Amino acid sequence: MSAASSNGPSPIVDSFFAAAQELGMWTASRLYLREMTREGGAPAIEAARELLGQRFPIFDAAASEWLESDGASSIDIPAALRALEGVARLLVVGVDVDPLDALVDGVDPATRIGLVAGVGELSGDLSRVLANYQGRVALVGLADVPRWIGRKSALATVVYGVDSNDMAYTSLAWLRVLGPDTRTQFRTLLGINVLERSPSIHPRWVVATPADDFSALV
Amino acid sequence: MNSMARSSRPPPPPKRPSKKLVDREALESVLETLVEDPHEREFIARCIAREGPPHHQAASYALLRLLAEVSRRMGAVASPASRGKRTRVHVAPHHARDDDDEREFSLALPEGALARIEPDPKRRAAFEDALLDGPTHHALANVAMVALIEAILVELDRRGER
Repeated sequence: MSAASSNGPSPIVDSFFAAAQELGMWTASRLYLREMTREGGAPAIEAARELLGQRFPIFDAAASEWLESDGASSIDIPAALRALEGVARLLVVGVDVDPLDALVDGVDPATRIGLVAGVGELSGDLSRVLANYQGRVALVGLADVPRWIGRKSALATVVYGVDSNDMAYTSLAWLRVLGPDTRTQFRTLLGINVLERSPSIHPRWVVATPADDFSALV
Repeated sequence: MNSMARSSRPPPPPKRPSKKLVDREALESVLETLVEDPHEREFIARCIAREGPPHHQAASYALLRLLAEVSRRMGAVASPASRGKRTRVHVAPHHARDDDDEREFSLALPEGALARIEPDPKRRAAFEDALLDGPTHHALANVAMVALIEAILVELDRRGER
């Protein structure tokens, strides 16, 4: 699938789309922003926003924050790990690799970790994603989510900003997993917010859900 | 409009309780002596105060707060039941797991509570099952209420009040 096909070829659009499919929108954005900073600094980033921003609003929002904060990230992994203390099973919903890496490194080594992905959302070759974790992370299908429930179980996903109406932007997979049943089957419903502000362009790759649906939003 | 027309109009429905009506942290305080683990206490408080129909959330919250107030004034302290049936995390039988201990909430029905009203073990078990059955928010609120009532009754026993 080409993200650029409707308006003619655009290598950066297609390459970003390919990266985002396997890394997730935020991780791919940060990867590109690092490279652009090395290659041309702020002008290169602004030029990339012109090419990518409308198509990939999370890139646009990440670029805006990158320029304001000199590349610093507001993601709070220690707070996420505090919310996951005592968890025996962690089911991460949706792919965004940098936060997933941080959780895998940070949780108790005895914690079982699963990944629900490819549920009507942007996702590439999941076997390549999982290969990076050398068996530490198991791919979990939607039908097998109930096998992970319990009073020491947690669901976690990435949130791409919270807007002024307290709506949190997150993956389609999260809405497929979270229902009135799962809400009482998982101890912790964790949202890891990677953007200080919600994207100024409507982030159509993701979906909005009330921010207070999460038991912890960090 | 005449009075006949007014009297035939159906009464307005009760207002749907807002989420702000229920203070989850206050409910966590109510559960503090019953559930030792703070994360699991927060989970149980969320299930009672935020899940299920809003009128159940508000009703369970009000009853638990009132029972906690009676307990506090009497100096009764509810403690975790070391034995007794627990509310299960609802799951279809084909999704059962070996470590089913984790499929139970950390809130147990005090074993002796129902013996006060029903000496027959089989009939008592039926009451216990009724309290533990049904939607999670309902079952957890039932167990918490029984635990608070039992603490009050234990305090009355201690005072020699019959």
